[in-house]
Amino acid sequence: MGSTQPEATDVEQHEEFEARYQAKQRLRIHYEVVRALTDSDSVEDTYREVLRATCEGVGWELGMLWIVDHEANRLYHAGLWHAPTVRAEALESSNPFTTFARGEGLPGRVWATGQAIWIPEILRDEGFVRASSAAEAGLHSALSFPISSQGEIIAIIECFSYSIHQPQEELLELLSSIGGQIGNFIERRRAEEHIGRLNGELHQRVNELQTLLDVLPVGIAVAHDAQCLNMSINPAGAQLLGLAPNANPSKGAPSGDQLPFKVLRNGEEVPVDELPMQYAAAHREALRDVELDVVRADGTLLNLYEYASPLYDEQGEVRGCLGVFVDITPRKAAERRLALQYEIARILSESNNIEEAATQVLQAICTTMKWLFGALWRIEPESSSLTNIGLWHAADDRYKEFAQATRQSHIVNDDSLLHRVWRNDRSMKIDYLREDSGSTRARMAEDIGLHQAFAFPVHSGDEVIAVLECLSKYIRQPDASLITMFEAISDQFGTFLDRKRAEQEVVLQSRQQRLLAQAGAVLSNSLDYETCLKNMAEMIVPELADWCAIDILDADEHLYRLTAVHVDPAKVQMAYDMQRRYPPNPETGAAYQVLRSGQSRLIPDITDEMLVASIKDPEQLALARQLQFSSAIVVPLIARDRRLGVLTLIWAESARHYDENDLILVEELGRRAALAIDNTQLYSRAQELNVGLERGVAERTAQLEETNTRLLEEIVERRQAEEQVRVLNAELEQRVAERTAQLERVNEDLKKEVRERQHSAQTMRTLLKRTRELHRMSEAIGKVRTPDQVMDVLLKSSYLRGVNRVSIAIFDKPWIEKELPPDSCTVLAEWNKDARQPRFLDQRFSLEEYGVAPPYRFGEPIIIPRMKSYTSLSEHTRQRFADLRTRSLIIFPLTAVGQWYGLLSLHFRSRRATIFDDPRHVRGLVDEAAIVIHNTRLLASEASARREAEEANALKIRFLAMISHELRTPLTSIKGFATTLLAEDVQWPSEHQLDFLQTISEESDKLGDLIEQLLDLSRMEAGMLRIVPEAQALESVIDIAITQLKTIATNHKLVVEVRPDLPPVNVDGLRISQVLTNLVGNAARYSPLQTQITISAQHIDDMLQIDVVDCGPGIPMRDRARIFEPFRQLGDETTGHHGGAGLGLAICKGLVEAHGGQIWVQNRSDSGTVISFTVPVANST
Amino acid sequence: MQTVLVVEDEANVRKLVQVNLVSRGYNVVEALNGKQALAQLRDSSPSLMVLDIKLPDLTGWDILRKMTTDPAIEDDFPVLIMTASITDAHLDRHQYPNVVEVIIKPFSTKKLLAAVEHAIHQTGQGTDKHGSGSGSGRQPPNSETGQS
Repeated sequence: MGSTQPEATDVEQHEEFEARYQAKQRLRIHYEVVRALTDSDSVEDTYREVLRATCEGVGWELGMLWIVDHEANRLYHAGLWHAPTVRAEALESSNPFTTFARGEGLPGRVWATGQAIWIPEILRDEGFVRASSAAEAGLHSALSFPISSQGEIIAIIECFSYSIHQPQEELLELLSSIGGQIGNFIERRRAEEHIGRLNGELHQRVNELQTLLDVLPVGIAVAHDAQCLNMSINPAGAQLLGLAPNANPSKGAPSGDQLPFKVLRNGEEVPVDELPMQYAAAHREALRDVELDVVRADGTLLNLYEYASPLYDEQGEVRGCLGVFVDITPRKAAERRLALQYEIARILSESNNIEEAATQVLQAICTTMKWLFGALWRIEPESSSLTNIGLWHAADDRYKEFAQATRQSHIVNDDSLLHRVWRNDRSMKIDYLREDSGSTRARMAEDIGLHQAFAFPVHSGDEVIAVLECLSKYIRQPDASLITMFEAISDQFGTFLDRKRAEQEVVLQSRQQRLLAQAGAVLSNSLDYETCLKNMAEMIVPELADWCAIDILDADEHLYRLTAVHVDPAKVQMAYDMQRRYPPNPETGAAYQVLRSGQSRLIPDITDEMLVASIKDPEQLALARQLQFSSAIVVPLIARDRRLGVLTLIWAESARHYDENDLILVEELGRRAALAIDNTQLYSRAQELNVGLERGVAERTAQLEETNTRLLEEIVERRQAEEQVRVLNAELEQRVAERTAQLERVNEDLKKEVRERQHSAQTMRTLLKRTRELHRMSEAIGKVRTPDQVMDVLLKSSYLRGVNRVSIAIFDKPWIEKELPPDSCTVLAEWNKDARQPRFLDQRFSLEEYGVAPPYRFGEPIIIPRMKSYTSLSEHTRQRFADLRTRSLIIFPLTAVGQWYGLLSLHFRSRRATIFDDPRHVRGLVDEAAIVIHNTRLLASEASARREAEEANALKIRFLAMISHELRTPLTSIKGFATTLLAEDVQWPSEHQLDFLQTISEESDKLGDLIEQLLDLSRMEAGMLRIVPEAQALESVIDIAITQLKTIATNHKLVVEVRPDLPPVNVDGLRISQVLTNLVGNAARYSPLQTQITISAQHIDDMLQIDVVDCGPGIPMRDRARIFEPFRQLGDETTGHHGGAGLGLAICKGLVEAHGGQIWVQNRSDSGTVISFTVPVANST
Repeated sequence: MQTVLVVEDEANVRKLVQVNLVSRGYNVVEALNGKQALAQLRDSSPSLMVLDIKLPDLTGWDILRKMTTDPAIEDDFPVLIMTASITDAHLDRHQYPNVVEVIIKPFSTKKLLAAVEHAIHQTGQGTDKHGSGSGSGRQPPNSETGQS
């Protein structure tokens, strides 16, 4: 049909085609935009896709997107799209920074009007601000439409074309409508994105929270309903409450009984509806810091702080509850323990005794530690047992019976917990008491629900003195700090016990001190000792005794009862009656015995057997039993060695017993009482003296007063006359003054007289004291036996106080009056105060050196009060005394049987010794000492003479025995061989016969020599040895002997070294050659064969010294002094060989000494012996 | 053969005892001092000991005492004391039970020989109480002569 009318048809067709094309284009735009919206992933993506879809749908080449920034109230560039063919670099580079205000430029106008705008040619549009850059890009047409959401413009889209397009209203409408759709879509997409983000964050938070709950060390429970039946709990909470992790403790378990733990508040179980979470939920109230104890299923105890807060839903209704638990067990434990220690310290410091402290300490420990029963046991080491000395238990009837069984009980079982703690000295526990084998107490404890026992040692120093025991219902594990705390408590307790012991001692001592002080006060209260003693006895009862009796010795040496005290006067009467009826026997009575011995007597326990043994009279025994005596102390009253009486203390009905401490106290009381008696007696004597004096004074005073009165009368008279005789006034005054002075003088005289009387009384007392002392010493001296003992007695004298040195010296010969004094004296005995001072025992001194200097006063003591200035002695002697620190000296003569035989000297360091006041007192003592010393010396010299005689006799016997032996030995050989030869049963060969005869001959010679020697020796002893000395050379003497010497020394090398220039000697040649023969013979006998024997001589002063030297073994030092005694011989043990009778050296000595010479053994360090002797040189005599 | 131990320090006296005893069939052993005597006794016991009292090292009494306490010495033989001191003759027999006789110097050979004979035979040393196999040299002199 279109071909028949081409023009009209073409136009129509074109219009129709145009219309169809436009409709198709709109559809395409719509389709593209919808597709872009659905395909895009994000809001930005959506904008970009919509821009592209719009431009492509419209068929324009370039598009821009502008987003509304509501806050800045501007449009900003958010995207650009262009067809691939377009070059739009300039637009692209400038746009990102371009913004439009509302109404500005094309997008601003669209934003302001809300209407889509179509500009066919932008170059002609005045409102197009970017015209120049658009022209440069070759753009011509532009259209723009808003994208709005919920009535608000959120973005603007612009499209540009290189061609010019006329506006199409339908297209603009379409685009406006599409803009609304896009806006809604974008808005929705944006909301979705936001929700997505929020969801992500939420998920993350939930995760974090869960982790937190899992790891928090705090227990957290969440109840999901208002009744708190459905509950969740975190792992920490589950652990605290002792639940399985993630268990739901209360789900379906509303009853508290079914909870797997118990909740306590102040020890009381908490009902379920009062548990914090339940309470918080029910009362819509948050709870804080609720302190609770939880007992877990296994019995362990926990301290918690709980916080609870209800949870609300949107309507404000409670939908659950949050609970938080914090474990404060360790902190509470530490707090409790600290508080406990303070508490115990306080108790111990305030307690007065152990029992009181024990109960309080146990209470403090048990209540703090939540233990139900505590006991303190004292260790009794002797019986190896423990004794209960205190306990505490919770206020529950169940424990009363157990406490009764524990109180005051003893535990001897070796294996019990208490014994083990004692033995091991450390704290121990038992979780289940039934395991404490063999203990009936443990079984009782188990029966009343006490399961666990702790026991701790209590120390005093290193020693365990007690054990502390605590019992508990619940089983708890002790930690280190608990043990430490109990060690500390144990130490505190131990210290307390030590302190108490010390305090008790102090109390005891102070009691004694107080008693003594009271006694002192009572005793000094009166000068009448009877009153004093009665008061003291009153004071003693009842504190120190039930009975106190004081008996005083009267002039007849009988005890009379001064006082007997008892609280009950009837009993006192009874005691007096008994004393009267049965007076104590002076021989056997306890009081008399004590008085006689001077020793106190302590009877700790008076038994009935003792009464029966000591009391014979049945009636008296019955009386004594009635008195119930249990213990007694009897103390003698002695002052200044005078026995004055007896103090008796007795415990009776109070059944107490005295010990050693009491004895010491009572003895002290006794001493004080005795002193009081003595003092009062002394006082009364002094009083008598005084009364006399006072009477004198009173008389004189009366006289004075009388005079005074008269004087006063005179004065009065004078005064009355004063007016009349004014002229006489001065005179009167003068006389008054004179009389006053006179009176004063009289008064002064009187005072002086009183003083003198007092002084003479003092002197008398001193004199009496000294006389008594001298008497005692005299007695003592009579008993001693040696000079040293004499000195000891003298040194005890108060006169010799301060003596520094005492010595006794004996004269060489007795000093006879009017004859010359002896030359010297020898110290017989001495004593030095300072043991380091030099000693002079047995040393000899001249009289002057000993301190005795002329002029001599025969038999008088020599008193040198000041040694330094005593010039009678030489400077040297005075210096010697100064060296001994002797400043003053007294020398007493020692005389006996009319002879002055020695001196006793007393050295003092000071001149203040009492003896200097009056040495005559000591003189008598020294005279007695002199007789004693004389006698002891006589005895000693007699003993010495007897000893010497006995020794001489013994020596003689020994000498005879030796001679007998020496003579018999050669005789044995002679007689033996002679009888051998005569024997008839043996026919001896002739050579044997010859040998026997030879032996007989040798032994006969020996016997001859021996007899000769013995004769020489006896001649010497008798002084009958004939020596015929003549001057001759030593060589000629040697010549006499040389043949014999050579024979003797055949087996040795004999060397004679005698210089020819030696002077001649005056000797008997035969005798000296005999000496040489003897000496060389000894040398040959004792020295090894072929060794040298030397004879040498030298001239010394007027003597020649001759030495005989050998190479033998030498003579031991200890034998050298004795070898010159007769019959001394050095035995040779190894060979048994020796010759001679041991007389040779004795004879040599005699011969040499007969010549006026000496013989000796020289000391030589090397081996060999040197015997030397001297003989006189001829011209010297 | 009977062995006699002669303890004497004087050479001539020793010789005197020796020649007289040997010539009468005794075996003689000599000691010059106490030390040697004790050494001999430890070695073997004699039939008789002739003992001088005055010796250079010990006395005869010392030797007798040491004999009884020395576990190595069998002190069951008689002892003849030979002394120059007449006081030695009065000895305590209980203290020195082995001592049979004390002869005082000087003495005749006859007296010595009689004392030796007496000591050996009187105390039973003449019969061989230990049996012939003892080898102690204590056979009587006649048993020796009987063999030869």
